[in-house]
Amino acid sequence: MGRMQVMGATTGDKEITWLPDKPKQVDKARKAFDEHIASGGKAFKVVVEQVTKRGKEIKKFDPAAERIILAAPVAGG
Amino acid sequence: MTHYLPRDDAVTYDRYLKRQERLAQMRKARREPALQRAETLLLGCLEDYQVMSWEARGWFTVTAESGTRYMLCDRSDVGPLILRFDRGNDDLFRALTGFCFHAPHDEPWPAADILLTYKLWIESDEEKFLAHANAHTVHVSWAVWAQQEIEAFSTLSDLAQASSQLCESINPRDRLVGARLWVLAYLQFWKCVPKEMTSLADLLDHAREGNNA
Repeated sequence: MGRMQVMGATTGDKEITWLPDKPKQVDKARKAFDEHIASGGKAFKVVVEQVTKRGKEIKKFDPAAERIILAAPVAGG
Repeated sequence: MTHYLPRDDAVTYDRYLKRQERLAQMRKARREPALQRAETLLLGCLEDYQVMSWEARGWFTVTAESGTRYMLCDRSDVGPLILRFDRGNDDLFRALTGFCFHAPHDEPWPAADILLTYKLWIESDEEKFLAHANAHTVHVSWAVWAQQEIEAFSTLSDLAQASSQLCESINPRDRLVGARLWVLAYLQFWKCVPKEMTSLADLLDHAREGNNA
């Protein structure tokens, strides 16, 4: 099962899950992903290898990903 | 003609203060779930050693593919802060460069969300991260400040060495005047330098004397 967490300023993150073999669920997740990217947001796939957890930026929705984070908009200060 | 008695003013002001306090409490209570969720999300993306550091000290380190280490911390006074550690000649890591980031001001994002975003970004594409960071202000003074966080700053020799290196690599958009004041203020706060010092030149002289001694 894939899991996507969309960071949110006021309410906290929202979670969207999907099964890769369920097209409706995948489409719903893809739509949320595309909207986030279109609004200038960043998306990262969390790659887990043994004990390490590292981020990898993705520009296109990956239905095979186990975990995706749609990150907060940030700027230099 | 209306006369405002001091007592009435005091009562009105007292009510105003109580109302402000209530509103602040309501805002805090409303944000609490978001803060908790952000923290849970961050912890879920950290490795064990990072979780331990975050819970014990309020910061954690991230190593980019290049091997450069970054310290990500949440300071209540300035918000999320990122420091880059550069390796010194003696093989000790020193925090030399600080980056300040924030989410758009119209939305109060939890610091944990901002830190997680930068953790993922540093791991994913350090070059892009630095290009983004360097397009904005680099607060050199925070290197010194950060060192206080990691271990007590006991000598000024590090600062003198760091300053000469920093002077060559400083981003022209740095706010140097502000930086100087920060350095002095924090060193004075941590009782590393006498209070009479009023300029960076005094500070560097003091550091050189310390090195020669």
